[in-house]
This record gives sequence, C-alpha cells and structure tokens, in this order.
Amino acid sequence: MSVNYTTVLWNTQKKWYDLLLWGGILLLLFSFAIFQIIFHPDITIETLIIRATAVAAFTLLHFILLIGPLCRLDSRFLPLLYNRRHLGVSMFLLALVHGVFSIIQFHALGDTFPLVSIFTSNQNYQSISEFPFQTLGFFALLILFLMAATSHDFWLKNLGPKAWKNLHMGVYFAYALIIVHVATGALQYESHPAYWALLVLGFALVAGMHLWAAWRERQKLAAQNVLEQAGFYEVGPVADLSENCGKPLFINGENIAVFKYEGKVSAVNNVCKHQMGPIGEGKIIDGCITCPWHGYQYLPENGQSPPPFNEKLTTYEVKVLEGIIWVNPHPKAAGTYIAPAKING
Amino acid sequence: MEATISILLLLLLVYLILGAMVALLLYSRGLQQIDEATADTGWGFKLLILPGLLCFWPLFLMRLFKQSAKTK
Amino acid sequence: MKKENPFYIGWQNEMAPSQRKFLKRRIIPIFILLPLLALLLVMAQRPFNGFSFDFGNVKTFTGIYHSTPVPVLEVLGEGERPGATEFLLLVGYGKFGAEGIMEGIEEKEGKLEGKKITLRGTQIQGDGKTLIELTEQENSLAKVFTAPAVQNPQKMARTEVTYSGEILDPKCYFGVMKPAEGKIHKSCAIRCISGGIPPVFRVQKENAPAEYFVLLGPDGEKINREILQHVAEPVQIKGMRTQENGWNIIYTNPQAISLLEE
Repeated sequence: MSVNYTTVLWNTQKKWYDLLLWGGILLLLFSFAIFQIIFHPDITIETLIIRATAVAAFTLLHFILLIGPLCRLDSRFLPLLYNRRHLGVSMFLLALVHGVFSIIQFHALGDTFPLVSIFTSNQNYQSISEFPFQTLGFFALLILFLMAATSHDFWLKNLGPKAWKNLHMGVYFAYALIIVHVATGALQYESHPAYWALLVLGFALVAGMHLWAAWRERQKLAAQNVLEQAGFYEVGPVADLSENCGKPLFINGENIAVFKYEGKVSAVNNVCKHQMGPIGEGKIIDGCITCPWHGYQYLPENGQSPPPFNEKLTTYEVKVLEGIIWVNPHPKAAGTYIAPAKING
Repeated sequence: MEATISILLLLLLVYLILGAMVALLLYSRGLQQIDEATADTGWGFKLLILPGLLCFWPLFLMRLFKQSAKTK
Repeated sequence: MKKENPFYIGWQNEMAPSQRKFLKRRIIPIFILLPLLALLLVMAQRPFNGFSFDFGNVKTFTGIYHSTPVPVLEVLGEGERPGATEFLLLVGYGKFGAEGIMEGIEEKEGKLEGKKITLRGTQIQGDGKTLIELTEQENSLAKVFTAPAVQNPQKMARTEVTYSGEILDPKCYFGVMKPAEGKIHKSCAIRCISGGIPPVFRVQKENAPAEYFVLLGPDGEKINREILQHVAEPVQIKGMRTQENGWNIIYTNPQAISLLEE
C-alpha cells in the first residue's frame, strides 16, 4: 500500500492459505506417484515427473479460474481471492518443471538445439490431430511466466493497473492454449474416455461459472433506475442502504460507490487503486472505506488512503433530498474533499 | 524454418542480456528514482522483480532517462 | 445489502468463524477429491511395457561387428536364449546413431568390419530385441581379437510387401523411454532418427506378435531425413522385405510411404 515494498507481506491468513495450497499440491503429486508405482510399476521416473506436474498444474489452473466467478456469486469465497497470486505463481512453477523436463526428455541430446527443436521437430502445423502440441505448451508457459514475473505489487504500480490487468487476463489465452495442447498431445495417446470427459468437464465448469456470474452481474446493474436533474442522478432511498455499507453504481460511464455512515453519505470511485476491486461492495471500518478484495482503505470524504499510504480515488458530489440520494457523476480530481451529504437536513 | 527460429532465439537472448545490464544499473542507482517505495528493499525483493525487469526493461530505461532529464 | 455476509479483511489475523466454517465445508471435500482424481487418471491410463534400459550399468559385449546394413554386434550365447546367436543393434549416446562413433574408433584402430571385438555399452532390451548404447562413445572399444575378419553372410531373398504400421526409433522404443510411440513421443523419435538411429517400422497384426523392420532406401542407403515427417504416424509402406544380420529390413523408396487415413 505504497509503504516500502517487501518481498512478501506475510500475515497469518497468507500463511494458512499457502499451507493449504501446497498441502493440496503435494497431496495430488504424491498420490499420483504412488498410484502410478502401484498400478504401473514399469513407468520411468521422467514420465512420472512430466505427467504428475502436468496434472497438478492443470488442476490448479481450474481452481484459479473458478475463484473470480465464485467471489462474484458469493462474497464468502473472497478469502480465496485474497492470496490468489500465490496460486498463480505456484501453478507457473509446476508448469515450469513440466515444461523443462519435457524439453530435456524429448528435445535434448540430439542434433538440434532443444528450443529450436520444439518448433521444428514436428512441422505438421496444417494438421489438427498431428498439430505440434508442444509449441502450444511453450507459448502457454511464456504467458504464465509473464504473469508470475509481474505478480508483485511493484508491477501493479509500475505497469499501471490497466496494463497490468490486461496482461493478467492473458490467463484465459493460456488456458485455451493448454486445452488444445492437452487435446492434441496427451489425448492423442490416451484413448480412455475418462480423459476427454475430464477435459470437457473442466472447461464446462470454468465457462459455466463465468457465464453464470456475468448473468448475475448484468441483472444487478439492470436493476438500477436513474433519473437525472441538474447534473445529479437519482440513486435511490437512503434507507435502502445499510449502515457502513456501500452501493456500486454505473452512471454515464462512471463507476461510482456510494456509502452511508454516521448519518452521512459520500461517493467515491468504485474501482480500488490496488487491483481494481469493487469498492462499493466493501464496508466502512474504523471510519475507512475498506475494499473487499485485499482490505485497502480510503477515507469516504476525500477518497484518500489514510497516512502513511497515498492512494487516492476520485470523488463525487452527493446530495440527500427528502430521503433520496443523488449523485453527480462528474468526477472531482482524486483526493478532492467533498462535504458528505447529511441524511437529516 | 530452423534458421528463422534460431535467429529469433538469438534476438531474444540479446534482449535478455540487455535486460540484465539494465537491471544491474537500476539496482545500483536507478530503481529508487523511478519508484520511491523500493528504498530499503532487500535482495529477496530485488530477486523477485528480476524476471520482470528482464522482460520490461525498455520501460524502466525510458523512465530513468526522463528522470535524469528532469533533474538536469 | 441482502444477506449479511461476514466482511473479510485479509490482513487481519482471524477470519469470522462463520466464514471459516463456510470455507472448511468446501475445501475439505477438495482434499478428498484430489487423490480420487489421481486414481482415476492412473487407472484410465494406457499401460506401459516391461522393456528395459540398464541405465548406469555399463558392461561388455563380445561378438563380431557388422556395419551394414545397420551397425550390429553378432553375439553368441547372450540374451534370452543362451547358445543362440543374437544381433545387437548399436546406437550412440543421446539421440544419435552409432556410425559416427564406430567410424571414429576405426580411424584409430583400423577397420573392424567382420572382426571379433568387445564393446562397452548399456543394454536396451524389449520384445525379443536387444540394443547396445555406446555410452562411452569413442571409448567404447575394449578389445579387438586377432582372429581374421569374417565375411558377411549371404544375402537372403527379397519379397515385395505392403504393410501398415508406425515408424519408431528403436532406442527409445525398446526400453529407454515409456511411452516411445505415438504422438506424444513424436518429437523425440524425430530427433533420434534425425541423429542417425535407424528407423524401425513396427507392423502389428491382430493376435500376432509385432514384427520390426529397419527401413532403408532401395540401394541400402539411409533414408532418415526423408521419412522424418512420417515418424510416429500410422503409415503404409511398400517395399522389398528381407532379413540381414538378424534384423528384418524393408528396402523402400520414401515416396512409397503414405499416410493411413483413419
């Protein structure tokens, strides 16, 4: 939060999170290995490592992709989102082991430089079933690397939240590449229908949850009726807002969060300066608007983070007339003080 | 095709080597000028941001030049 | 706000008990599902064969060296049937054939064709075939016997055949890698064959043991480069079938190799 950076801002929650994360990863890796040794004792160690890390990375990617929609649908899942970057970096590390082992196993010690061989060994780029699946895996790994390399808040600040977010939306492209990598690779050898069934099920789950969450968000936004008067738009009865709670609105292209607290109403920009979380879904705690994603805080009357932090949100003029909240969507410069509207008088 | 891929990989290597040089420059003096919050950070942090610096070094080099131009 | 969900702040030490309960109920089943997923994947997996690669165990093999049509060591009394002659195919270290190594050795020791020699190498064995990896490369020659060189046996008759099957690299296939066939091994097979390992064509008929044929051009020339893009795909090959130095051969024109439509 703009105090000097640390490598990782450890706290109790993050420690639990990582414990469970790596507990799950190791559980999957070891149970996979043990079952292989029991049922397929002829397996070689390289094949075991390549397959175990592939399964673990791909499974973890599905969890990562489900967190976003789950949190939109039910805010009780938010603790999973809090430390999601550790999931992402862990997934990249597993994918890296898989990629490096595969490159060494299948391309090294030959007559061609391994990184060149990835692209040139199989050149059937015009076929579907014979498509060089390893090329797809390579590019997916590259995207995951760029995301892991920029997962620290330093990058959020220095690339800017918009560019950073766009880069990290690349996870969907990586996911698509990996699905085709699996379909044109492993699933051209493994003929049991269970493999195809799992691949399709995983994709259906991710796609389905995203569509469901998007549909619910649209319903929420559609439920807003706004009337305009002298530049101010009607938000709704102040009684509809719970104490210390916010309400997100979208007016004239402005994403606004309105908060009710201590007999007053204020309005700030709905997009958190940290990772673009929905401020309006947050709460006021100890006098500060608190973002529901990572707990970043802002003072409601001027959109500024309390010292020593220095993030600032744009603020908006707000009025309460006969129990109805009105907001002027024209933003004031970030950090501008706007006298809160009093609820009574 | 092999020739094309080899050339591209060579260019990538050159890009990363330049990135390493810029990273060293930033670590020795420039990083704080670009982002004050990097003051008093340890080697753990510097190592953590190194892969990203190797990729996005042109951005930081540009900012470093802009900062030097400003202070002159 | 509709239902009062607890408000989570990650940087605080504790989360609300109701939130913890909510998450516990959803995370614990995941820990049960993970090993079940692993079990399903393993059970549904194609089995591996029992072929072997004696990695890390370099031993000696004594026999008569033949360089054509592919480099082999004619060994008496080794392998599965003591007393019978076996022809061990020689392959190089990594993804390379043995020719370069043997030529390098012959530059120092003189021609070895038909001579009884002892080679050091690592055994690869599967489906009745044995190969030797010349792990120590040009240091693989342990001894040359003084007995005179033996002539190559008479060539057998050739018959025209058309077979369907898969082109593999014998080094990986007979024990070094598992699996060493099909799409997922294709790049490696291409690398091995490109590096000079003789391509071997596996013909698998129903209810019959597989037959393996070394592929060579019509005049016995290597066609490794020409067949590269057909490796690890179901293909049909037309050529002249024979047997030399213990290995089945198909002499074929690379143009006569066609992809099998599924």
